[in-house]
Amino acid sequence: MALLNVDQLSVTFGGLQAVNQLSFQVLPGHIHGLIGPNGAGKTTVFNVITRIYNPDSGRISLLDQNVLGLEPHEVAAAGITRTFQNVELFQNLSVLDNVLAGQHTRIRYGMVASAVGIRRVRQEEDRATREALQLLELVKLRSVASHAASSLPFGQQRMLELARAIAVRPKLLLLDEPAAGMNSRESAELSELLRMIRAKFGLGILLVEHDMRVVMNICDRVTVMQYGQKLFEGTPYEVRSSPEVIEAYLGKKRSSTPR
Amino acid sequence: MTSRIAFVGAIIAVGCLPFAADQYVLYLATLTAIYLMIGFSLNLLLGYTGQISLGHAGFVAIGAYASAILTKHSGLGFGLTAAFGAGLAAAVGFLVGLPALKVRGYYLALVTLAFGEIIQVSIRQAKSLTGGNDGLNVVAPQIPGLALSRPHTTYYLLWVLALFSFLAVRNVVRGRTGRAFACIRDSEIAAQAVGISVTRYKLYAFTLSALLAGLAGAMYSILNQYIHPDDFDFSRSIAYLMMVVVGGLGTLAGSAIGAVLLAVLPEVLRRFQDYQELVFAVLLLGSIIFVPQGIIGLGRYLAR
Repeated sequence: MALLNVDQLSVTFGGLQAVNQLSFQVLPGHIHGLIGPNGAGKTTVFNVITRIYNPDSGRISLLDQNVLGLEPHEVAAAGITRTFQNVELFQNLSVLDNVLAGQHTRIRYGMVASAVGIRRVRQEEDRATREALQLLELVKLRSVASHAASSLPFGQQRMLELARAIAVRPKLLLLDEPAAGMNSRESAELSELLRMIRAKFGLGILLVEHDMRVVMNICDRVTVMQYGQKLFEGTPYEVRSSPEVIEAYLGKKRSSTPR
Repeated sequence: MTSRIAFVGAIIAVGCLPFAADQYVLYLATLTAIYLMIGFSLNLLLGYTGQISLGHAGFVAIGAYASAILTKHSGLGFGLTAAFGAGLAAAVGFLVGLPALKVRGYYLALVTLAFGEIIQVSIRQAKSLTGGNDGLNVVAPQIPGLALSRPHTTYYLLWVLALFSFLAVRNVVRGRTGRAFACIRDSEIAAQAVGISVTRYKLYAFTLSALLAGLAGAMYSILNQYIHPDDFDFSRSIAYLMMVVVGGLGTLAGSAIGAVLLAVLPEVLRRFQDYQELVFAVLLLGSIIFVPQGIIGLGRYLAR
């Protein structure tokens, strides 16, 4: 059974057809690339899956759960979380608190319990903090755990956002251009990290990315979008050798075989 | 460590003060306890959750009038009527929170401002219940074994209540709920992405904030034993705002400093009574422009 099933999804904004009859599946444990030229509708797909936008038609399910029946804040507990293209951190909170916030749905006590300070509160906070510190270790931010998130350089902010997303313990992680602005060494490290995260946490990843080194390096399968529609789907190798894809990215070729 | 020393120092000072103070200073010190609770209340909303309230005096008024009227007509004990006042304020806070789910920024400022005015007008109009512009005499509460009319008893009662409010609010803001509040303040979209219900936690913040403000109002009524609509007008709401902003948003110690300031400042400025609000406004603007982190933030900066 597919982890994520997107079926015949259509989204319009006014007269603009942002996503048009799009279908694809992410298999369990897969890193699935979603690529395409700017404006192809990739981020819109993310925004529909996370319930920020309502589609005009189509179905989305995670395993056998209907995602479109969820409120935006219920998506995380159902098993999907995301990062953002422009990094959305809780800027005034500490690095550690950002990761603790990621565990919100898994920390088991309420407002009244914390007001009167029962023992479970302490236990849950201790457990959550230990777990958060391990995640920060993973993304090499443990040494700055007490710093304000806003004080981190941009690259580390991305890593923090990633750690916060993993803290949700999702079944499916949506990453929106995690390698943007990274040099080749950094993007190679990111690829390594994503592979390791997939193995360690057994999650599927849907990856929107323009950095083809990353996409070709780690994706099991790639869906290519253009003008809101699916242009092509296949393995990275098949995508790289598809004339349609090359044309979408580079324009029509005149002669000679493209690499 | 320094904050712990400061906390213990403050407790000792509060505990010893009645032995050194005259009646009037004792009154101001008791008032400070009430301002402290209002400060925690507004800070919870504005400092931690990022939701402005320009009508906070309205919640205080509901607590004050509801408890006073119930005491007058029912003869119930003071604990019960205070709880009723706080509970009613909390219920109204929940209702005021509902539009906050749809509007933010300036528009929320307007909604809460209108709320404060509605409470004002209602109190002035409902003369048979509230005494309108004549004000309302509050029956001094009787607790068996405690003669609460004595200023010392009131002082200690209110400070114990303020202490418990502090501990409860501190626990809430340090834990899962407080993190959710702060997440909503910093980024609603990211808060949703990690599974925080923006609706639920905004309503929690409004309800809890109004509960505390209402409790402070009930205490205000027994401290003064007379309440008047002027005690809860728009200028009070602005004074409360000044208190938390000048003290320092998002820190409870800041609210404490602000509360002392708000109690003491009118005395310092007594000779310029007509200009009191002008001074408040200058303090507020000056703080926003020059020390946006408030006095607490300034202190931390200088200590570094």
